[in-house]
Amino acid sequence: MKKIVVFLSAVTIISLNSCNKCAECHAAHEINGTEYELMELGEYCDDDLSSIEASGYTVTDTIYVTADGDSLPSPVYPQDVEVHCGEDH
Amino acid sequence: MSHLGYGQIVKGKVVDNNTGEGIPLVEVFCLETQNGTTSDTDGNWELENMVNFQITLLVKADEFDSKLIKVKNQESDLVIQLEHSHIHLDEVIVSTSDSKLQRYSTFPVESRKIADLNKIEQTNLTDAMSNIPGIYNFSTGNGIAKPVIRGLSGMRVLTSQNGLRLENQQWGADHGFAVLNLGIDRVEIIKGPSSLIYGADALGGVIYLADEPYANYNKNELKASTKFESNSMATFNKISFKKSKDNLRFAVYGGFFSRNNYAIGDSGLLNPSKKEYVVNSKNSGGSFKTAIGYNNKNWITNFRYQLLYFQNGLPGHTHDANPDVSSFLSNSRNRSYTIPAQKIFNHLAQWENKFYFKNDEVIAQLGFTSNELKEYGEKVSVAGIDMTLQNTSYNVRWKHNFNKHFEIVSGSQGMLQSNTNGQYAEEILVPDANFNDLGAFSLLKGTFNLWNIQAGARYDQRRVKTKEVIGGFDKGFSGVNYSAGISRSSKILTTRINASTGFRPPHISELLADGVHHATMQYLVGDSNFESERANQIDFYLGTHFEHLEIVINPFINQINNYIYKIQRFDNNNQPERDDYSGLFIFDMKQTDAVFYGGDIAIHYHPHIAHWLHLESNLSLLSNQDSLPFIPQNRVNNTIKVDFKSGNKLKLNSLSAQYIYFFDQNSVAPYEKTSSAYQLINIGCNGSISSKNTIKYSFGINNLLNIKYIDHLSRLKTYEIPNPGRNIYIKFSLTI
Repeated sequence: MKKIVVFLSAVTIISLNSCNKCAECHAAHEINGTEYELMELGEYCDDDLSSIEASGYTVTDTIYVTADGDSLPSPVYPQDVEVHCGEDH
Repeated sequence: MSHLGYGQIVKGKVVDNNTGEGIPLVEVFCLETQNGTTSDTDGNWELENMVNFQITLLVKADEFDSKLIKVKNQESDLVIQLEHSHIHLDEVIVSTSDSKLQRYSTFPVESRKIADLNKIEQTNLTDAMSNIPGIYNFSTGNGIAKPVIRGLSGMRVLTSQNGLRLENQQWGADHGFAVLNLGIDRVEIIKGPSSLIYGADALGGVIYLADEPYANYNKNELKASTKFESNSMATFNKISFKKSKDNLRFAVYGGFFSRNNYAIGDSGLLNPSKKEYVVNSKNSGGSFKTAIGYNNKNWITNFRYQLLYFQNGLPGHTHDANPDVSSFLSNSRNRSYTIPAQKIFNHLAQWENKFYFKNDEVIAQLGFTSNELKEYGEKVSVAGIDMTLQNTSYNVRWKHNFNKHFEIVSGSQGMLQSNTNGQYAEEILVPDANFNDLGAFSLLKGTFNLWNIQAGARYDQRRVKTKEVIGGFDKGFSGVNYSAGISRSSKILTTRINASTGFRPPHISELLADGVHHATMQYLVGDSNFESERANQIDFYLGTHFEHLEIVINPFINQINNYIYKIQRFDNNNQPERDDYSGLFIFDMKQTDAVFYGGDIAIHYHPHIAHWLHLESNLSLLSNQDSLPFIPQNRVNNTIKVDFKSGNKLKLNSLSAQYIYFFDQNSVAPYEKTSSAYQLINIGCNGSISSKNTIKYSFGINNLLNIKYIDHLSRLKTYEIPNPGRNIYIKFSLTI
């Protein structure tokens, strides 16, 4: 019985933990029909996640390369850009 | 009478027709109460507390032909004679309004045990069903699968689970078969229009899923199984408990599965390249299911409930303007939740009551299904599509036996369906709407020695009404359908001809769609003037059943008027048009008349000199000259199975190898690519480990040669994303 209680407790904790909605996010911008990943923004959870997906991200300095270090076809000047979260790569 | 004062005791003996000796371990199963027993070493069996009316017993044993017998309440001490047969001819069929062995049916229907379809394990239920001639899998990776019957799928195929109609927004190409292989015993597939019994939408056929039976009389059964698949590092785990006590029966099931992104094949056998995985093809899910049954003298009731949860990654998604296949592949993978994805919650509830009288039988079913579908396209926190489809249905059927030759079955089905979009959904592809169905049918059946005949007609109406108060859509559709068939089945020859019709009112998504379907990366435009699709099929069957050889030829032609299909929109310069806002290609819905024709040829050879050897081959042919998309490739499916009998502790029961050849497909829609031929080799073995409680195992490899191929019915073919490569599986199951 004790083992069953421990097992069920563990399952419950894991299940509840998995209810947290978290995702890795990045700032993205479309140039000539192709979307480029500008920078990694880290992990956001729950309300913070909803908030950043809704509000987007403001680029404050001109960006010349992608998050992977590749050159962008044209620089991205300071402006509001989209934030994409939870994408598989 | 039993000690409880209910029902009766039916008992008897199963004997070999040739020798008169009792046959041990024969399954004697009552179709009405859904439980049974097994004969002892002398062939004796006893079923206590059976109901007080004519019951139907299915009698099955290895190396013998199955038998379906009607037992009247005053009969007991039955002697059932079974004939030797090295080929199991057929399973029982219940989907066509009564219980029959397949060979006596006047409908084009095929019944298979799920376990038999999985002799070489398949990754999902639809893949397993694709072993049946004429059945295919319309897939999006290995998590989203839709069964295709003779070239028709989605809204043209009706799915019924124990008589409960399942609805899951099947209009969407990426909205898969909302069923998990949990506690399902058998699938019956009616090939072709079946509106006579199932009403609107059964235009292409019916998938009827029959649950596992309850535990044998006064027995308990605990079963657990686990399976691992190497290709997507998948795990499948199931557990079930069944209990049968006097006139009460109970079953509970639980299961979950998880797949990572699948690996594609690699044609470089001797010089393999680094593994590539299809991005975001991961999926997972689970289910809880329960059933409780009770009977008294002339009443049987069953209540069933199932909760299903699926989380499907949607592969084939990119932000690149001009993507190539590398945009959808990766050299690494992880199981974390990523978008775009679907989250699906289904509730299925059914209450069934059967009443039996001297010459009459009444079956009443009440059902409720709820399908909550959320698709996360652009944002993790807000669903792009959020729809809840609730369906309340009834099904009443009355059967009257006039005499030993004739019976009449009359029935009525109705459905109240409601589609509601979530208030925070970003896209409303299908508006809030109600659908009301009402239909009634009557079917006359006759049996004369070797002959079976049936003829019936039905009237249906459907009302489709959007929930907007002003400027809404409100239209009624109606249909008259019939089915007539005649069959003759002797010991060695079965012939059958069947003519049937079906109709399908256009779905609201086809009538009113005008928006983005992110999961399919399309902008869809419907047409509110569409008429109902109407199908007429003629099906012919010729089967020879010799002791060691079975040959089946089953041609058909299905003419469909007002067939609705999608076609890509092009501008005046012959360039594909895009939606200005989303940038997605625009697809219009159109109607045309279409003809599907083809057939199946199947051979099962079991050489007399090698009773341990089974050679099975079937050819599925389908043609359509109307340039429609997603017409299945013709296919040859060959299986060789070797049975073993050994007394060792570690037993190998059978070894199977399968060779499937898919012919190239050049009959395509204008915007669709042709598909090349490909071939697959699968192998598998089944056995058991003797212990106090038997542990069964199965082990095998799908796509043994790791072929890199793209199936014509893969939705991912548009992006040239291959189907899964080699997959090694191992499964253990324990029954206590």
